[in-house]
Amino acid sequence: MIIDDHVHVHEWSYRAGDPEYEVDYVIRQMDESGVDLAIIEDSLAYVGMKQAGSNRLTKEAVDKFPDRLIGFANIKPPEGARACREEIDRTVGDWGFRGIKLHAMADNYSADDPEQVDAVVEAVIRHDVPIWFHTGHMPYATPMQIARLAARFPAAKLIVGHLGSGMIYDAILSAQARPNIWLDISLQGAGAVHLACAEVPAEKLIFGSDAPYGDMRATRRAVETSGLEPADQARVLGGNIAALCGIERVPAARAGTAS
Amino acid sequence: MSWIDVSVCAAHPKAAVDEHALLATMAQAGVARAWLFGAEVATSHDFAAANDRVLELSKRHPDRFVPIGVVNPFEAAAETPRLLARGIKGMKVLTNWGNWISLNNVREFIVPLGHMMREANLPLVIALEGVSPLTGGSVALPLIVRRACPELCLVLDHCWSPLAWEDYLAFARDYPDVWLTLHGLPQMLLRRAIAELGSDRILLGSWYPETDPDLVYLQVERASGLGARLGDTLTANAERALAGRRPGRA
Repeated sequence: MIIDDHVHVHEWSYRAGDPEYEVDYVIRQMDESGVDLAIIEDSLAYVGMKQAGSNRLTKEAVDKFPDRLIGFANIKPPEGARACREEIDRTVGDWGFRGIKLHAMADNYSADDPEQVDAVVEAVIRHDVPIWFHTGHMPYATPMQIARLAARFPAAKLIVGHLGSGMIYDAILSAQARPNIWLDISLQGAGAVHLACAEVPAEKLIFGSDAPYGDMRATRRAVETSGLEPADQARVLGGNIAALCGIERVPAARAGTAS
Repeated sequence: MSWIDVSVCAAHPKAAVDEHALLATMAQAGVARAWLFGAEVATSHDFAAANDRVLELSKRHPDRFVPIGVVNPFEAAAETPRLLARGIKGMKVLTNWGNWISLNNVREFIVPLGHMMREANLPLVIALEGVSPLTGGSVALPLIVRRACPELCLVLDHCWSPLAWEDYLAFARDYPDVWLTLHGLPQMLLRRAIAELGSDRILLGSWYPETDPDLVYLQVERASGLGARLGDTLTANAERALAGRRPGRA
């Protein structure tokens, strides 16, 4: 089962009216790329929308394609610990989202700031789902900041998004140092992905595209040309995120075609 | 006041450095001695010429300049012993030139340089300029070196990007025997850095001619709250580092 751990509806690089803005585009990309499932977040949270409204849009997308999409909640710590806890309970507990995303740069806080994130991390641990971090931007969310958070919360499952963006070495070192850090490879070229495959155990790497901004096929191809054994490729391309999120099912609509 | 400036450029790629003007600036700023290095290699890539200039200036003013060598990492194994034999008192790794930084290159070329400096009881200075993909001056490079050479006297230098200081401070907390060089930075950050690190961890480097040493000193003096004692603290720390000793160690 191929799972893309990071796609968007309403990606802010596009506008209403652009085909890429809509969830149908993501589904077409998945079909063309052989991707069975995708984890999706609405992107309007990154341009000012409150978390509740953004997550409602994510739910609408998931409800439209329940066999293909899994929701992650955008959580915005500056809205307050109580609001975040309630939003996590609503989206993960009630709606069945399988994780949350924190975008510390967009919301202007440090990803390892106890006042901002500790209540969120504790709430997420209770639900036993991962936290996906947009990373690579100082001083908001570097891989090392995530590593410090991982040390403080060994029970948390933390995903360093975009392989640290430009900070790929930091991302690799953080994953090597902390057992509860995984690396998402979205938005990275084949060279960076191959380096990560050589440096980090395959159990800690997760395929993602950041579509529609990123390209599913190119990222998948980077994994397939990494030199990893087929079993390890399967872990990277879906097995690891499935285990992290507790995804056991092969979507009924794709059961006969999954790679 | 009298203090040691641990980062002064003997030549610079974007500004002329005149020997007499430099000495006058040092005198005006109370800089008793300056660790001197050739910053012009960022564009010239002529490491030999830069080191020759630094050694020559230091020979002319042995009481004012401490020669710090710079080296192309790929030539470090052969070149560093020659530089040490000629009187170089420390080595500085510059990251603002070329495109040489990779995990393997750090392991293959910088880590052995660290071992050499450890054996020589001299400091290895890493200037965290910030070069893609180490955007903004990440701690990946010193982290690899520090893990591989735990006994090395390691100095983080040119930590000029305020954005990166969350990682620098965390690195300093994780490795309390690493020296941190302060520069012209936002006052709030300087206060926080000194409060968190303690004055016995800090060095001060102006990177003259990039900043004026007297102004940088004033900034740090005000941030530290040490008043007139700051000069003595900086001098003692710099002398300790130059002897290959780490903070907090006998």
